[in-house]
Amino acid sequence: MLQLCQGDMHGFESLFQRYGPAIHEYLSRWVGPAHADDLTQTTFMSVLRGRRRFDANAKFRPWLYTIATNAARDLLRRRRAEKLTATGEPSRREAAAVTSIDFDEGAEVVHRALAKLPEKMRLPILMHRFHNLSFAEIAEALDISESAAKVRAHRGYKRLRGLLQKLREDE
Amino acid sequence: MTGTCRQVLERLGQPLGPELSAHVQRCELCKPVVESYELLGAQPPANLVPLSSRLHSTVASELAQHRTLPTWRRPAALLMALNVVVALAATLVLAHGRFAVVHLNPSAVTLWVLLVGLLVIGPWIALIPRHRRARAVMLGLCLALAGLLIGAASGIGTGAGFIRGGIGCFVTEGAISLLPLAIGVWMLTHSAFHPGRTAVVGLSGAAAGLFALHSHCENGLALHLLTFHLLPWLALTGLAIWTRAHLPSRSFAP
Repeated sequence: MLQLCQGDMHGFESLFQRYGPAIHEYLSRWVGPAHADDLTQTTFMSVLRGRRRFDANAKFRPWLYTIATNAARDLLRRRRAEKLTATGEPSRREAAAVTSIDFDEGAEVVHRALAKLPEKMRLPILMHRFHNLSFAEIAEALDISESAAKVRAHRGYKRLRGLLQKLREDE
Repeated sequence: MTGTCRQVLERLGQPLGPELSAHVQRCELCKPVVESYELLGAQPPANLVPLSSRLHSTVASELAQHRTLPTWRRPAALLMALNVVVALAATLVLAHGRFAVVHLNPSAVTLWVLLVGLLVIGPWIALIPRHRRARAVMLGLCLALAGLLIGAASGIGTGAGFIRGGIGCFVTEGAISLLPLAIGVWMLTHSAFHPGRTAVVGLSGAAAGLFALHSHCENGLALHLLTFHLLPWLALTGLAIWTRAHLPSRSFAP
């Protein structure tokens, strides 16, 4: 990151190689693979353009996840505004399109269960379970307290257990 | 959720040990959490994501144009200077040598201190990358300022009608605040949309109008101050938030 702050292209390339796959996976799980490529690029462009907003004493990974989260939220907010039906509700097709993803059968159930969680529970779980972020890092990435991150994750895992069971029984 | 539940949560994916395992067996909260964690399956392999040639060339071109970028402090200082200059210039222009009688009671002095503080510190608090609590404190101070504005009203009217006497204040406050608000909102497009940051920029920018108006307006009726000084200040802040929410972000950095 220090290299990038000094305007070094190699610094950007090494950051992309190191963190690009994880960010792509995070965004795929959240907004679907159709948007993950573009959002990953948007995330790293934001790293480039916002590099002087990075605190050299802070950890890079939570900052990067904050950017990816902000970019995805922006996309979802814009899509929601564009795709509202006349009744003010998103159409079923649009809602499905945002969350549909090509996983194998077992992972598909997991994905569908995760998609049913509210965002404030889903994001701490995605970061904790699939990206090995500590709760302190999750708190930093989501701009909440560490205690709030733990409570959200705990409630999310608890609710997810019921959702997974129900979806497996339905199949 | 007890302290032990928190320990279980922190140890997920690692051996829990006999004490925590026994807790999980007993605890109705932790049991589904541990089961859920295990049911989520193995971590997927990280696929290689190629750096596209489009991104590569865009990055190379941006780095060529802006090898180094100014830190957030420069725009914050510019916005602070703009707020102060606009507030003072508008105050002098409006006054024509005449200022409203300032009653130097503690409430009025606190109000002026808060207004100046908002003009000066607001841009820093809004643009600083972290310090969520500072924004919350700033919003709290704005609430105190609003309370004082009404609480410190002299209660002396000017004799002009309610609407006739107020519409000029409303328009004046809006007109003075427009430039600091527009520049502040534009500066915020260089980072991700954040309602709290935008609110601080809005309150701080609109404080330029409020400052000038409050130095000039002789109407001390609480209803006048509420309707034509305070509400426009809040409405301008709302407008700033609405505008920023609809503008694209140049970067999603916090």
